[in-house]
Amino acid sequence: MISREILKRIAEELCGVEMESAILERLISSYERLMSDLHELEKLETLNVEPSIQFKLRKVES
Amino acid sequence: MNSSKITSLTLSEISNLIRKGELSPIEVTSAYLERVDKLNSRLNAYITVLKDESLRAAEEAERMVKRKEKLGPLCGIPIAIKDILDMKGVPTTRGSKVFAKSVPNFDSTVVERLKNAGAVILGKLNMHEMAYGLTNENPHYGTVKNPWDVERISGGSSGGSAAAVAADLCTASLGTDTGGSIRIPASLCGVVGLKPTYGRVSRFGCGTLSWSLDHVSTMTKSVGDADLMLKVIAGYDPKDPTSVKYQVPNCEDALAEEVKGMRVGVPRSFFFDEVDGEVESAVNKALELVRELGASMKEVEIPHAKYGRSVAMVIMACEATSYYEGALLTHARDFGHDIMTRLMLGKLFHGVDYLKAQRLRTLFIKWLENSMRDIDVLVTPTTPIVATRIGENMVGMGERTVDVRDQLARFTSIWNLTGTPAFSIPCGFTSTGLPIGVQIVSRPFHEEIALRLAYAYESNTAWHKRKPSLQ
Repeated sequence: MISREILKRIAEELCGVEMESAILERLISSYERLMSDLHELEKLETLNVEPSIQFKLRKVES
Repeated sequence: MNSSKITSLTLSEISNLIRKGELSPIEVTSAYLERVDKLNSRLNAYITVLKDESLRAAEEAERMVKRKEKLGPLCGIPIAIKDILDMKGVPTTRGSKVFAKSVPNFDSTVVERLKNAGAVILGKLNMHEMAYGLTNENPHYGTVKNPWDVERISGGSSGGSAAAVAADLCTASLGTDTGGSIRIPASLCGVVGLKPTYGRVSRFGCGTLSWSLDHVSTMTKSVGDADLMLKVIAGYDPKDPTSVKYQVPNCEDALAEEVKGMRVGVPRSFFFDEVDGEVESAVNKALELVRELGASMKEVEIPHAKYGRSVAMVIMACEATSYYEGALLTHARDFGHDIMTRLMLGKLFHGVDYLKAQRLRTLFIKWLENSMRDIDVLVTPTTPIVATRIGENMVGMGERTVDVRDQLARFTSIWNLTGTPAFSIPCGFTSTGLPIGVQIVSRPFHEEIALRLAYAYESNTAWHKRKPSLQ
């Protein structure tokens, strides 16, 4: 997980803007929630699959 | 026929009247332009109105009708497109100040196909900036208002596309859907929104948000119109590397079939949890009607569905930021606050996180295949809430207060992750007169099955015929 200080630095370096603390808080909480969900799902399921980078679907009959 | 009667007709109805010589393409286009002129300042649905160009196209259509030439399937039909789709010589703003002066010198494949089918392009429609948001509160081009209550959001990101169809400012529209951006505004504005299978409709000439989740498609006044539009815009396109060669299904035949014996899966767990009472009741009534029409019901489970949106959001954040990083570096202050924050979010994830999300996506596709092995379609609410007030971030649901943005895409983005077809059709109204949508999901490349159920339902209800009072 990324600390608030590092996040603030990324924002400033990336686009030269100082982020309002409320926006920073929202950004961090979004990030933390998404990462937590990803970890949670990983705990439930073994990732024995490869990623779908070139995402193509196949036709599936019932 | 007076102009408000003309604009209230469906695409199929107008097309039939043009073919019979009872309506002229110029008459139809003029009626729509008049209505846009009258109502657009109240709704903010259009960013660019192509008055001269559309009248020229209507004149050409009229010449073809008079000469009794072979007419394209959309000859003389006024259609509007989301302002993220390229049209030669017309700015593609992507709803952003950053791209306000971007003028393509070619047509996107979908626009090319509409033109080849004889459609009249009325203009380009407002949207959530960069298609990266669900409320359509746009700081640069104004908030798109919901025609059913102008103090409420249209939903987004294709809010202009939904509001324009609902308010009769076009016969049909094109939008894009990365996490629900066609289905959510379709549900909130009471129109039909169709997200086809990933790869079915070309993305060439469409501004990217998240290339592995983006879908281009249509919003219409009826299910039959959705079928007509899909037939025109779908099909293999070598210019889009993710386009597929599967044959476009003949939905017309499917629409004529009954739904007797169709197997409907109802994922009660998650998709019916924490849903507004009036939404739940309307969707349950829709299911009851579908059962009366002869379909069988089966409760099904989509494993870990509650995590679908988070997995999709990690992918979307990473792809969007990788695509727009350059613009973020040079134009950070020109983006709306919400967009800048979302683009920043993508910078926080590592490559490992992105790949992990893509691997989890593969699992979701497998889980869905298993869940749909013995059923033909899934039915869920499109959104757990109806249109909220403009500027409202939190909304009450039972005894809880919930975040509007989290709620809107709760049941939609998982189908972008799996790439499966998912439609939203109107299924009722709240006691305060706001539209409610039901979502129908079918297996990849089987749009015709979902359309068949949607058509049967629509033919036995009148929700899609209601009009907002905007006079």
